[in-house]
Amino acid sequence: MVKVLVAKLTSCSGCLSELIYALTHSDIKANYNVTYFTEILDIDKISDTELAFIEGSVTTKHQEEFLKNVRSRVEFLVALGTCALMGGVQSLRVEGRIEDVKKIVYPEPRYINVLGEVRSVDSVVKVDFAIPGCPVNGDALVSFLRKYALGGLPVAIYETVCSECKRRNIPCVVVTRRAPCLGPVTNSGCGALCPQFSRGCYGCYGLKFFDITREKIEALLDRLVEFKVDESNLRAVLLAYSFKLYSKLQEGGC
Amino acid sequence: MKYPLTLVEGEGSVVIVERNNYVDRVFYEITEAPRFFEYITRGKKPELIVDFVSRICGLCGVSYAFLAAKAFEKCLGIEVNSEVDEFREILHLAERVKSHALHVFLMNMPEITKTRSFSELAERNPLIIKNAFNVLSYSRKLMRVLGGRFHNVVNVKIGGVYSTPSKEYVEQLRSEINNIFKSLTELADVILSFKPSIRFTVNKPQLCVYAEKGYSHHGEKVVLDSTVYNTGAFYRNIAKTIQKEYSTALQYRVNGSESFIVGPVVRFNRYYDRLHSEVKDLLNTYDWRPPLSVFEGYVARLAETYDALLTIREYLENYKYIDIARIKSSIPYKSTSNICEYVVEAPRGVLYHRYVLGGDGRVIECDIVTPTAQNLAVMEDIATQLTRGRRISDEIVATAKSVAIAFDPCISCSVHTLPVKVISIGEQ
Repeated sequence: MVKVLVAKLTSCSGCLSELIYALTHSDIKANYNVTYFTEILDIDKISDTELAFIEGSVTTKHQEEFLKNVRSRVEFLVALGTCALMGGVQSLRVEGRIEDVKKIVYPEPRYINVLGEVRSVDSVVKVDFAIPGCPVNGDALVSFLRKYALGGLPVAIYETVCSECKRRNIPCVVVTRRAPCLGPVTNSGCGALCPQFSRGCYGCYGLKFFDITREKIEALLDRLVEFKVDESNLRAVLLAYSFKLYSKLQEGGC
Repeated sequence: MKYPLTLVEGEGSVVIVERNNYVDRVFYEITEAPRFFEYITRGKKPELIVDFVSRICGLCGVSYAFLAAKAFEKCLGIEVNSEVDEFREILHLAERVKSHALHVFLMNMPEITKTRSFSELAERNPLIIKNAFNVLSYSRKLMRVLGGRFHNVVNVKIGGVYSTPSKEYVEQLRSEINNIFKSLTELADVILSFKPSIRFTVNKPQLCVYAEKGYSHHGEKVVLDSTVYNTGAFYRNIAKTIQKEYSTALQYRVNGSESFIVGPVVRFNRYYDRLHSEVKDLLNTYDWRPPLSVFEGYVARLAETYDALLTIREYLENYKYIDIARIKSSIPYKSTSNICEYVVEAPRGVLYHRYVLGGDGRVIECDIVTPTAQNLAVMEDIATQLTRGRRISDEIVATAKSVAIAFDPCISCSVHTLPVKVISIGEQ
């Protein structure tokens, strides 16, 4: 039995719910022993564990220390979802000074102890495996857990959402509907969900880091704004779901 | 003393303020980091908000997206095709089934059966787990066909939805639903036979979305006990945000003093008569009827799950494919007001959004009041009432935890709950 620890940082619990779904499969239940998962298990102490899943981004000092503690007690750490990998939608708050942001939302901002930045899990500790998505695809988790139990790992596939549309024979929504679509620069893994629902991809699996450059993104945005779509909306979703990468690209990094 | 809170969605702790080993007061410390959605939405166009706010809660994202769409449709003068509107309502009911199933099976059941997890319970009775997973799996299929995925659905927008499923997919759902009723009624045999260990009548005001007909779902009015309020008036003038001496948590209290309850128990108590007769017959078998106490929330959740599935079955049986491409959003944006507000009954209770639009059509102000934030005050009041003056013990800690689980708090949606500071009141 593989001992598993599941922990949540700053996030919405959507990825955890997908993990719960994965853990309901009888063959997976038979191979894994969940030792810490406060949402579904009445155990509040972490113990030495083989495998850890971390949902969410790091936005407090406490989370940073907790995460380092978890890392020191697990052998294999999996970052789960967009918040853990990129920072998540909450990253949009770093556009403002944290003291100003606090004042807008809270009457007593002095009681709010959060970091000025929103950090991905891999910027704090070593990550052994990453599963993207907002939320992650539960079937991808099932696949991961089955392969890990057998001593292997899923093969990383570096593709965009466009590849998934092609394989599924989904007509291109940019061509047929003039729908603004971030599929050409977004990680695959969702099964081309938005195009299946006749809308453009809004990039919730994050920018495909492998070969996407600032020039390629700008070229895509130049075309999409021809569809009378608000450019600020496009840039906001790129930041929301790919904060770590897109903000670096904007600064000229990567 | 602080005790981590488990079996709730999100991160929190019970804080017991003691005086010479006797309980003085109980707080629920929210350690979930704030996510500042009310800031994030500023400067954004309405069409972007719908998908963004669905990320506030992984469990009840449809409630957020549906509510935001409705709020903007109202203030921008957008009329939604009635069949499309009904489709969105069904998607929202599917979320109610999903959320209730997750909470009753994974969080309430271990608590009411005194097991440490659902797995431990399952080892004792595999039939329970089989039936529970049947219902959960079905809710997953519903969410995927109607909304695209289990969480953070992609099929809600201002003006309606992006797509509706083919008859073939719907027929598949319809053909499986009767087996789900079988699983659910077998589960009901276990769940409805339980009686909560805490017998306590809570005499607090109860708030839910006002329904002229049908069960409480969504609208522009709320009802507090028997008084009906316009949503804006209630959240601006009646429910006051206050801070308590020992707590820095934002709390909502009627006129700044009395705590109130939101959630499935409130909906059940007010609109029990409007549940399907099958649901009432089932409840009668186990001698359940209103009023339920907050510790009997699992009864209300099970009743609502059954009721929602009956409504969904009627919809599936009469489903007519809607070709969204042929329904033009022909009505242009015609702003009727720059204040966009609405209420939806999220699985855990009344959810309120208020957006103020600037001259350029972007959001300049946002207020989101979540069910959990509204219940925090009453959770603390009840836990304190049950434990004050008693000597600190494991039983007292368990009682304080039970209150939290009974309210089914979804701390992940703590868009503006605050971490609590513990103030020692010292020896006397």
